[in-house]
Amino acid sequence: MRNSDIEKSIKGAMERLTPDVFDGVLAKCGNKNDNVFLIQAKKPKRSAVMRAAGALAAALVMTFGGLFAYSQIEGNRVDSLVMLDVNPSLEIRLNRNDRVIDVEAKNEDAVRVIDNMDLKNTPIDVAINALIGSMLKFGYIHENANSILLSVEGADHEKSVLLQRNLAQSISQQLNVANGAVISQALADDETLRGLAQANQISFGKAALVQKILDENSHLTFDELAQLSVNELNLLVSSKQIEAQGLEAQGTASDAEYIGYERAIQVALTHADISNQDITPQVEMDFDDGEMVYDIEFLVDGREYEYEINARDGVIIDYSQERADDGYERQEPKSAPIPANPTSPPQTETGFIGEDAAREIAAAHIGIAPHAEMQVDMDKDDGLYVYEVEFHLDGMEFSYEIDASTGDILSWEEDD
Amino acid sequence: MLLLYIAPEAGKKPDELYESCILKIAEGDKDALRTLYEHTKSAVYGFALSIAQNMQDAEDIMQDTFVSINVSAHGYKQMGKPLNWMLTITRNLALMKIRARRRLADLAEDDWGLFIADAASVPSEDKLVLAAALNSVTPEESQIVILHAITGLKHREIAEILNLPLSTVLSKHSRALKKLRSVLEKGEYYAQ
Repeated sequence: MRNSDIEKSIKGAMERLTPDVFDGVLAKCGNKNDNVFLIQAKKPKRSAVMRAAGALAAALVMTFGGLFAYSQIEGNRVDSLVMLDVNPSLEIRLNRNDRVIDVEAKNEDAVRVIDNMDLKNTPIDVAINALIGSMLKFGYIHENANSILLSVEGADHEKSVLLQRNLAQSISQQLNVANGAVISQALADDETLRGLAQANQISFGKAALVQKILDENSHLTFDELAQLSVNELNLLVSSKQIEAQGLEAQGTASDAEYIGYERAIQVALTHADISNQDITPQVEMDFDDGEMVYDIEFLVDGREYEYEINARDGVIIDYSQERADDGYERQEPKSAPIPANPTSPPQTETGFIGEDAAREIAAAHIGIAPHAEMQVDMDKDDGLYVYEVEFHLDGMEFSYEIDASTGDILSWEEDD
Repeated sequence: MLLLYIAPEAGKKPDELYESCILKIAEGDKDALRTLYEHTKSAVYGFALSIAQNMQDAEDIMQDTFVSINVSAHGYKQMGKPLNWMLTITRNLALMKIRARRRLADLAEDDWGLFIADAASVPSEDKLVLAAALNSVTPEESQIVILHAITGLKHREIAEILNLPLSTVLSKHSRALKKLRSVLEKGEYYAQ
């Protein structure tokens, strides 16, 4: 059985098996955008005791710093803590039914965001929706800084995770309007971390995120990372592919304030005087001496290049090049002639696509640029003229059989 | 986020269609959503199935993918890679789903053996191949094989979607196909 037959079978079977969900899609798309910023006006019915409690609560809730005062009353016991960090930083206390007990502003920006909203006893998803709406309205989330950090803390970890997942999803849907990004985590209480948060005047949630980045990057310090914005932290998390337990990311952190990966690569390649488009540099965002930077590494002709480039203005901060380790296999010189092949008819023969075209077709199939080391032979297979194209890439051997008249790929193989 | 520099490629016909659909979807055009859906549904479903390894989850993820496309179409940046954009959404939704399941130790049973065997419209040999592609290789290999077979995406583009180095995608794809060939040729695999 040939690879191409296997693929054909998979494609055919999957096309027949795909269910039709379009009606469901339409139903879900219907009125989604219309109620994004609305807070439900309807208040749930409450018992007499609860009404009295509510009256008392009304006086306290939403007051900057007015907390816990009556959290002992049944139904108002704090069950979970939801924290939002953009620059505005706020904490929402929830009862066991996931309704809001109170909202505390942790900085001046958050006071502005909370405004005079009465979120008491609203379901958490509705409250979050209103708060994010307010952040958008006041311009705290915009195209240059689109990241929100959501942290959920509670005694019941499973419940926290569920809450984290649901809220992250709803925020991310709401933020799609602004191309936003959500990074979320479920946390357990941690005294040391709380101390660090307080010392650096950041929230517990942000401190936990900083710690997760530190755990995988020992060259950074807590103090310097604590000064970064949530968007910058999110850029580091996604670029470094940090996968800490309980950390989830949706959307892409904005790098609009920076020159971007492609330009950073260009700067490095131009400096190294390399015009070869075929190399794939490794690029990572990092933080160094108070600046966001791009770390770029690539390997050309047995030499390893490393660049550190200021992410804001593209200035090269540092660079080095050295011979690669012994394990590196030297590439054949680029100018190696294509071996002559006496059995293949001359390319001028009418009706055939030619060896260069065969190279291009095979190269295009895996998405690389064609090059001279791709060996092409002509052969006759079942009465059909075919080009056999063979080449090596990343230690693998590829061979293609291409119809010499039509350019169709008849079969292809890959080998370690 | 792009970690590797991807050489710009010449525009292809389907990509142009998808891209124009996405632009119209951003303006609220539901016909464009349907066109895009019809052209890409099996790629989205197949990919979701290969990650979630569960048919009901895959169906949910497929539905959420198109809802998400509808919501975020106006944030789409034209870069000639609409299918990559769509499948990245699918992957994120699928990963969220399995992470949540994993954390809650709520492992969905992979039920496709049953579901494939039930599908009367599919020729039995195709059934065997698909079942093998989902069952007898690792999940990551299965994602690569299915993406390559259904979408016609290049290895490089698949590497981008899966956030893996190109060389990893190439070697895993090769290994997976080798495994599949040997399983199928020995007739070791039967639909359950």
